[in-house]
Amino acid sequence: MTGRYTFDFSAILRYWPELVQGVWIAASLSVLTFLLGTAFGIFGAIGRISRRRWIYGISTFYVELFRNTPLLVQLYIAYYGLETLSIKLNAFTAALLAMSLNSGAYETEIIRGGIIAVGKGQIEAAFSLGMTYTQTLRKVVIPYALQVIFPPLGNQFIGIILGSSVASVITVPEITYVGLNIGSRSYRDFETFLVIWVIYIALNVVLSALFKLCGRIAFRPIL
Amino acid sequence: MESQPVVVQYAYFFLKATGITLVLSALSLLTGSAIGFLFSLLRISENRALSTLTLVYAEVFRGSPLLVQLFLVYFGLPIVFHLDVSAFTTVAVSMILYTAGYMTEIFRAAIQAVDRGQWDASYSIGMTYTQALCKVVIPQAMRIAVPPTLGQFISILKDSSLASIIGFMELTKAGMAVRARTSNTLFAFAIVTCLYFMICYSLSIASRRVELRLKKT
Repeated sequence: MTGRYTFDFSAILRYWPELVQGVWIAASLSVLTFLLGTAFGIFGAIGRISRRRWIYGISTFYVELFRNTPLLVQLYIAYYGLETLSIKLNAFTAALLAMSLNSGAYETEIIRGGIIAVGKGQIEAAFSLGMTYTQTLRKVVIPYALQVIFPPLGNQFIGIILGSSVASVITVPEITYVGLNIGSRSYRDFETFLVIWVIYIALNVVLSALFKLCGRIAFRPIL
Repeated sequence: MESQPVVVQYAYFFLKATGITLVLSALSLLTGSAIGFLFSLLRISENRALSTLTLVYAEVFRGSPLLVQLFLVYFGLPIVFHLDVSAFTTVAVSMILYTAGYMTEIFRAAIQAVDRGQWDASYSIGMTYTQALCKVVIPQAMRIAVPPTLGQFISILKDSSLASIIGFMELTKAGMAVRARTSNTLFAFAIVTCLYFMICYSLSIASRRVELRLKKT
């Protein structure tokens, strides 16, 4: 047992189809989470800028509750907690529910920030040019708000991918779960997780670059 | 004893677990900040190699899941380095490495947020680089770094729940244990959620207040 540890990656590379499958599941879980989360975020943001007290209250409670408790506990509640209320979700659906509600809370604040960032003067200027309400919204408010929220939303998406590793705990067969599985069969846990570490970092690097490129193409700097 | 509600029976158990979560998180924040502070100085230094190395460190540890890092330490320390360590050490090591990545970027951003004129002014009265950094820039940067550091502390508190996965008895694990003992799932999770919420929400409010006060000055 003593002496230097000899690394052996060949055992893991044999399991590459499973790793690809894991990446695929992590990717689909993350994309669906992002889409649902954005929907929650849009509703949340509308609620957070509402003048109706109870709408504001509910959306604020939602944001604070989900941002101030661990994702892991939220996953446990969606998977094991709802089960006791005889709502039996499969692991993937439970993960999607917990993760999108969690992401929606963060996206609420991102989108709210974008809406607030559009100055009153800009809207007044658009009206004074004779634009209608829809025109102002379409040509002034939404393009500007999108430009403000695009970078943080990109970061949020990367955050979702990293967070999706926690879904392994409730047996969603994404990359981290696949890693534990391969590790226990090949007895090469450390090498397996080194490979998985690299996969996540690569995903992050590629997506960050992609988002930056998209941002540069879609939005020209306005000042 | 049996007739008492679950909360009362397990109050001490939950309180102790909350204490462990707080201690683990505070330790990660303090040690991670110390490492992050040193790394941020290397990051802004003229030395290309050290600057790149700390940049890569921050990007790698911030750009991969804490859970994967936790497993790397969990499997790596005993197998590769032949170290027989406790669950606490495993969790603490991975959380410190992870936090150090974030704190490097927080301190770097804070130092670079200090107005360029402060450097110029320091040089113009004859200060050296080290003097300008230590006596003028860092004191101001520290104030700027307070709100994001509090935000990081909230993240660490929540992330420390992952320690339960490798069997470390903190707040989330305590909830799972009580759930197993009492088979009252919702109650156990409700208490765990409330405890995390109370701690993290108070910190959120504190962070917002500090930020407002900093904006005023």
